[in-house]
Amino acid sequence: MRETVIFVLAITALSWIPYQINAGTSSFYRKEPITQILFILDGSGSMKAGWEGTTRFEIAKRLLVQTIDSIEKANQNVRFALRVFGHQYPKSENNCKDSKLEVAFAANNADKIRRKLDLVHPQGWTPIAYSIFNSMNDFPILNQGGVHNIIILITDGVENCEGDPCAIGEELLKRGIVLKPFIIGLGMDMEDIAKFDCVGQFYDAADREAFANTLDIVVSQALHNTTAQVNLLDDYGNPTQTNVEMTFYNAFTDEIEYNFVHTMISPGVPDTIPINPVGKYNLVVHTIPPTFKYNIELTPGRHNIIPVDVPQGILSISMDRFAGSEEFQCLIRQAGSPQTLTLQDINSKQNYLVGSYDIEVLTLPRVRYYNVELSQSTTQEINIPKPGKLNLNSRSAVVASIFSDIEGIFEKVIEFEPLHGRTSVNLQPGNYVLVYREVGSYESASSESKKFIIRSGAISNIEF
Amino acid sequence: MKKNIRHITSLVFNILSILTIMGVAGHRVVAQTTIRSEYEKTRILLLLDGSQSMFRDWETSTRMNVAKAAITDILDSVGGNENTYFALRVYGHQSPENIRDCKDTKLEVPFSSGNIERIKSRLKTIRPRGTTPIAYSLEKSATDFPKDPASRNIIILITDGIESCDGDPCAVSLALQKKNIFIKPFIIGIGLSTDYTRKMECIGSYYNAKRERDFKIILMNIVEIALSSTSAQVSLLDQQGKPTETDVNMTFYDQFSGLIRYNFYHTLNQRGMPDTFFIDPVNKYDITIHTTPEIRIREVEIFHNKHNDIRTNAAQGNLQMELRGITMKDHVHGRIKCLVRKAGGDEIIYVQDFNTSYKYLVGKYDLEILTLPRIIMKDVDVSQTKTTIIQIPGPGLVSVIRKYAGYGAIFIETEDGYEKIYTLNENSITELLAMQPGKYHIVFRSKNAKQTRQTIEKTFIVNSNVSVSVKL
Repeated sequence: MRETVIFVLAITALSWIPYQINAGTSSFYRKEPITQILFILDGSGSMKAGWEGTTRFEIAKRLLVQTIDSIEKANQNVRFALRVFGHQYPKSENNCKDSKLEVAFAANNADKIRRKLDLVHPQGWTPIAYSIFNSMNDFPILNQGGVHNIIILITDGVENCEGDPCAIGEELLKRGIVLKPFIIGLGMDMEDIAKFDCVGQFYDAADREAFANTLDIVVSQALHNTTAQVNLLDDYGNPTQTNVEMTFYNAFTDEIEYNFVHTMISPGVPDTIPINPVGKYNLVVHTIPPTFKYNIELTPGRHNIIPVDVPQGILSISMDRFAGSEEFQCLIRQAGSPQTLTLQDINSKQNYLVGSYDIEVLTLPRVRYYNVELSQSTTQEINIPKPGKLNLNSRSAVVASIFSDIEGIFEKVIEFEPLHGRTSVNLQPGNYVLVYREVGSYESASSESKKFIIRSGAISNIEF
Repeated sequence: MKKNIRHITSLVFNILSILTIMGVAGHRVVAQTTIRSEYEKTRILLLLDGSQSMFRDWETSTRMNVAKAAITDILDSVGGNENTYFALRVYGHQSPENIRDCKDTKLEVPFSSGNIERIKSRLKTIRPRGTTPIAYSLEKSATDFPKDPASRNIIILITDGIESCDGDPCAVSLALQKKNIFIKPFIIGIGLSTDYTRKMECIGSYYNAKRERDFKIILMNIVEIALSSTSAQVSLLDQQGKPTETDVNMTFYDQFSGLIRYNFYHTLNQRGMPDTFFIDPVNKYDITIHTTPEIRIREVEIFHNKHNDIRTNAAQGNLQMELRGITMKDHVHGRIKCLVRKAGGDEIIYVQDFNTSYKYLVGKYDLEILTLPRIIMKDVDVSQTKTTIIQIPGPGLVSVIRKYAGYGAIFIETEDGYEKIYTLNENSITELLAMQPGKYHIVFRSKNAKQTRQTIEKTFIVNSNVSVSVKL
C-alpha cells in the first residue's frame, strides 16, 4: 500500500471570467460563468496495479464519477469532459500518441463518462506532455468571455515518452492558459517528485480517503478561484475606458508588484488580471494626471471588480504646416496651476482626465489658452495659427528688440544680440514694434521704432 | 535712418535746447520766457467758464475779471513764442441761467498763427450768464485741435463750479486722452470747496486758486509746464550702486491714461554716464525697464524745475546653458528649451534655448529644462561677477521598435514609484526619442494582444550621446 503512489496532477487552466454589473442606467447585467473541467486520466499499464482490494484504475474511476455526479446536481454551470491516455495500445507497441478525448463537453455527462470508463482497459504507455498539449482542442469555447477552463490530471507515474510537461506548460502560457497544478502522491521517489516541481504543487495521497479528499480540494479550488478585473469608468459610470497603463503596489511595503496595460476582451468587458489574491494593493492608473486607488483587498473565492473613475477627454493641438516647419512643444497644466503637467507636441492627440487645462505653446511669442474644457469622449480641437516670417535688414550695427503690442502694453518678445545685416525670425500673427538704436550711439533720443503687423503665413520685411 | 523719420503718435520725442525755469510761489512773472521746441508744436486751448457764477465778487474784482486779466498778461508774455498756439473756448456764456442750455459752448477763437490780439479783444466781450456744461465742452474741444501727430495738445480748464448738466467730465477726459486728442488737462478751480477736489482731480491736474493773486501764478506755472520739456535720466544701478547697466529698452506709460508716451533704448553718453533726455513733466509715468525679468517703476513723478534722476537697481548677470559632451547633430526635438521662472514664482519669465547665454537680473531662478524626463533646478543664482553655467549631459537617442502598434508608456522610478514620462504613440511602430541618461522602464501591449497578461515590461539604460534600441 505504502508503495502505491497516486499522483493527482491537477492542472488548472485559467481563462477569462468577466462579470458584467448593473450600473444604473447602463444595460449591463450579472452573469454566472460557465466552468469547463477536463479530466485527463492515466490509462497506462501501471494503473492495473492493485489498491485496497481492487485496481488503482477502478478506484480512480469510481471517485471521478462520484465527484462529477455530485457537482452536476449542485451546479448547472459546470461541464465535464474526459480524456484518457495510454489505454488504446498495449505496452509492447510503445505508442506515445496514445491519447483520446473519450467524452466531449456537454451538460449532465456523469452517466456517459461512467459508461465510457467501463469500456476502458489500462494497458500502455504514459504520454503526459502529449496529452496535455492535445487537450487544448478539447475545449470548444476557448477564447470567449464567461467561460472558465480547467484541466485536472490524474496520474500515478512520470512521463515515459519523450515529452516535457514543463515545456508544454510554457506553450499553454503563451496561449493564455495558466498552469496551476496540484500533485498528490505517496512515498514517491524524491527524484520523481522533483520532476514535477516545474509543473506545480505536490500533494500526497496515502490511501483512497486521502485521494478523495484531495480530489475534493482540487476541484473546489478550480471552481472557486479568486480573480479580479479593473473597471475603468467613464463620466457616466460605464467601464468603457481602456488601453492605459496600471501599476499595482504592495500596500504594506510600497514595492511594485505588477505593471499591466488595461485590456478589454470585448467592448465594456475588461480582461481578468492575473494578480495574487493574497495582499493589499495600491493602484495607480497612469492617466494624465494619474488616478489613485488605495488599499484594495480582494475577496477570496470570487471574482472581484475593482472600479476606478477615470473619465477622459481628448485634446488635439494642431497647426497648419509652414515653410521651415518647427515642431513646437506645448506646456499643459491643470487650470490655474503653475506646475507643468506634461508636454504635448503640436499636431498630436492625447487623452486627459476630464477637467480644465491651461495650454502654453512655445511659439514666439508664446500663445496661451486658459481653461480649456475637456469632457468625456469628446475631442477638443485647438488650432494654433501658423506664424509669419519677419525679414530684417540692418545697414549698421544696432541694439534692437521686438515687442508685441497687446492693447497698448509692450511685452518683449526678442532681444537681438546686436543686429547687423540680414536676419529673419518667425513670429505669431499680431501687432509688434521694433525698437532699435545704433550701437555706440551716445543719445537715447536716437532710438527709433517701427510698428509692424505679422500675418499668418505671410512675409514682412523691414529695412533700416 | 535720417532724423526726419516720423514716429507714430505715441512715440513723440523731442530735444529742447534752452529751458528757462521760473520760480513758483511769491514771485512776479518775469517777462518773456524763451522756450524753443525743435520738433514740436504746442497748442493750448483755454476753456473758460462763462457761467453766471463767474459774476461773483472776488477780492478786488469779479471772478471773471480776475481770470481775464491773468489770461491777457500771460498771452502778452508767452504768445510771441514760435510753435506755441492758443485758442479760446467758452461755455455757459450765450444763454441765461434759467434756460439751462446744456449745449451752451462755443469755440470763440480757433487755433491759427497770430491770433493773440483777437483772443484778447474777444475776452473783453465775454459776459458770464448761464450754466456749466463741462463734459459737453470737453467733448467739443476734441474737434478744436487739428489732426497733427507731432504736436502736443493741451487744455487749461478754468472753472468756478462743477458739472451742472448730466455729463461725466472724467469719463470724457479719459476717453479723449486715450484717443490721443490731448494730454492730461489742467484745471484751475476758482472758489471751489475742497469737497470738490476729488471730482476735479479725475478730470486732470487740478490746482485750486484760493486767493486772487494765486490765480495768475498758477496759470503761469501751468503754461510753463505745458511748454517745457523737462530733463531726466534713468540710472540703472549695478550691484555696487553705480549706473553702469545700459542697452536695454524702456517704455514710459502715462500713468493716468495708460498710453505709451515714450519708448527708447537706455544709453550711456560720452562720459559713460546715463544719457539725458527730455520728456513731458505733465504726467506721472509708469516705467517698464525691459530687462529679464522686467522692472516696473510705478507713479514716477517728474518735476519740471529740476533734472530728474530716476534710479533703480538693475544689476544683471549671465546665465549660460550648455550640453555636456559631444552633442548629436540631428536632435529629435530640435533645440532643448529651458523654462526660467523667478525662484518660487509661477510665471515663466523667459524660455531660453540650450547652448545660448542670456542676461537676467541678479537674483535666484528656478529652471525647468524640457528634456525627457524634465529636469528641475531650483534657486539657481545669477550674479554680476561671473557667468552662471548650467550644464546637463547630452541626451542619448532611443529607438523604440515594436512589431505591432499598441499602447504603453515609458516610466522612471522615483521614491513614489513609477512616474510616467512619455506615452507611446499608439499608431506607430517605431519612435525616436532623445532621453536623458538613466534607467527607464517600458510597459507595453500590442493592439492585437487581447489579454492583460500579454503586457510586456522592459527595462533599458540610456547613456549620454549614445544610441540605444529597445525592441518590444
